[in-house]
Amino acid sequence: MSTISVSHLSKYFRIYKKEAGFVGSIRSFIRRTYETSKAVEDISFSIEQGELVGFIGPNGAGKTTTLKCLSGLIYPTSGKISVLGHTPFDRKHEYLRSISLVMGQKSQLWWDLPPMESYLLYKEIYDIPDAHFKKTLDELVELLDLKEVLAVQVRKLSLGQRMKCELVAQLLHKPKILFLDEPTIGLDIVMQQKIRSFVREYNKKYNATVILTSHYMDDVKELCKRVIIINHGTILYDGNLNTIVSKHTQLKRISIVFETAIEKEKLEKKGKIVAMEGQSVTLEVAKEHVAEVVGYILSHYSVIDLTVVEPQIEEIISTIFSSQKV
Amino acid sequence: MKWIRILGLYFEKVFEYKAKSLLWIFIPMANNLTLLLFWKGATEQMNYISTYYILMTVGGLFLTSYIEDDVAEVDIKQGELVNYLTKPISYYWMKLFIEIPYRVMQAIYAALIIGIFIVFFRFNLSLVLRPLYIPLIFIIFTLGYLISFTFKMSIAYLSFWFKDMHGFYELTTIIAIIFSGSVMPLEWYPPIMRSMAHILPFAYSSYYPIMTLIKPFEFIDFLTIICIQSVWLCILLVFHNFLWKQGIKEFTAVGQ
Repeated sequence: MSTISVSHLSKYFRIYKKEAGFVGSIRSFIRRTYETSKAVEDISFSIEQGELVGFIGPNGAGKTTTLKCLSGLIYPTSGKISVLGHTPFDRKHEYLRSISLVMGQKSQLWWDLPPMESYLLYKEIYDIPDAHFKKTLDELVELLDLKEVLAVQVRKLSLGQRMKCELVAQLLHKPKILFLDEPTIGLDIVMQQKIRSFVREYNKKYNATVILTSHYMDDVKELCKRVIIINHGTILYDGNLNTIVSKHTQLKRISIVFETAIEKEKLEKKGKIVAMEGQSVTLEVAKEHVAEVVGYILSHYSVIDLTVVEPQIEEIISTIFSSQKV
Repeated sequence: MKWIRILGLYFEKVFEYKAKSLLWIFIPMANNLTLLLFWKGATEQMNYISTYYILMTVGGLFLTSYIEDDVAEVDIKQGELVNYLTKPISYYWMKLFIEIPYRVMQAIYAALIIGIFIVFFRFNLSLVLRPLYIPLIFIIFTLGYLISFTFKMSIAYLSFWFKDMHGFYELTTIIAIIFSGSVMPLEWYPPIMRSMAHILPFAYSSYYPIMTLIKPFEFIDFLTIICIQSVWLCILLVFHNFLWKQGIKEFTAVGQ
């Protein structure tokens, strides 16, 4: 049985629509117009223990709504969800002790008090024995380099420090399932990297199941083998990230810097020239011909530099979003 | 242990914002102390009146919950409820232990300020405090606060369905003030209003707890009050649980 199993999940919201201006206000006073927004529409998937899955989608795609349903925050309109054998919305304490939800845009620490106070409260809420608490806290504080900030008011911490403190708070009880909603949002590159390594480490060490949503493709590329691409509330793709990337990589680009000027016509026979500036040329070639073209160039010309460039994952994902098909 | 930790944490928070806590007690105090000065000039039952208003002011600050705005505006509308829903803890009990430090601190502040007021205007207090009944008085005060708290939590849940409930909360506060005896002792009300006060829960939240300190009640009177309070609390808890179970399905967890 899968750790997380979602079957035909849908979540609709009723949204009040009002025309702009005074007349619109009068109309809505007499008769309100509502629209049904389908945040998630009939999605199904399952996730095994220890998997690290990335949820990708543009704003309003339904990623966060799905996470909210999985963590028991909102009641699904229809469909079935089972997480560790529990129905999340029942919010049984046994279930809540097994999960954690980290939201990059929402702090769950007590704003006016140092993080240590929140940790001590969580220790009581999750009934963590003293020895376990101390061991886990020391370990997490060491890993995330937080010793200096434990006694500082949360409001006075930087965004990166706060996010790290947030992670500690959510991991003190060693959850089996970790829902990460935009955990690196607003952080600088160094801090993003630290958070990623930490998540990877946690996933390996505790065989925890991690579901990650992020707008930063680097988060997904570095952490997740499996991705679920969602848009307009429906799943467009569920599978290996490399598979989808290679499926969409029919063409590759070869960037070459020649020692001397070359004839454009000769090169055009080998591929499409997409850029040419002096001795620097970029050729676009079908991926099955890359080896052959590279061999030809190296044997017929004096080359200073040659690189084969993979298309950016961002471009591929963006193409999938706009075409709505994989 | 976790409840003690929550209590401790929120006492710390109250101390962080001591000015806020102090400022908020001036609103009910200004009303009651003005009334007290009025009655001082208008009645001969001054001892009873001054004791009643002073206890109602100090006691009322402890006995009356003001949790509804926090629950409706912050937790439900701004989505802060998320922080509680993902933890293995009861939201009702958590909010109760979060509010108690505020109530305790406000009652202490009020007692200090009113102490100065009493000395300055030379009021006499006539309390009936028999040590034997102190445990019963404690139970009545606790139940009184729980009635107010459960009622306010319940009406706050209406925000799951309605966007702006502020006017409604103001209205219920006014009704509660009238029927809990905050304006004047209930025995001075016209008969119909007195009857209404006795069939509504508000008097059991403030009026009767205060009366246990003023009137020479017998054991049976204490028991009667406790029984009626318990019945009201049970009714309100059923109402509360029903609204919570239905309302939480409407929660959209916005503000993330």
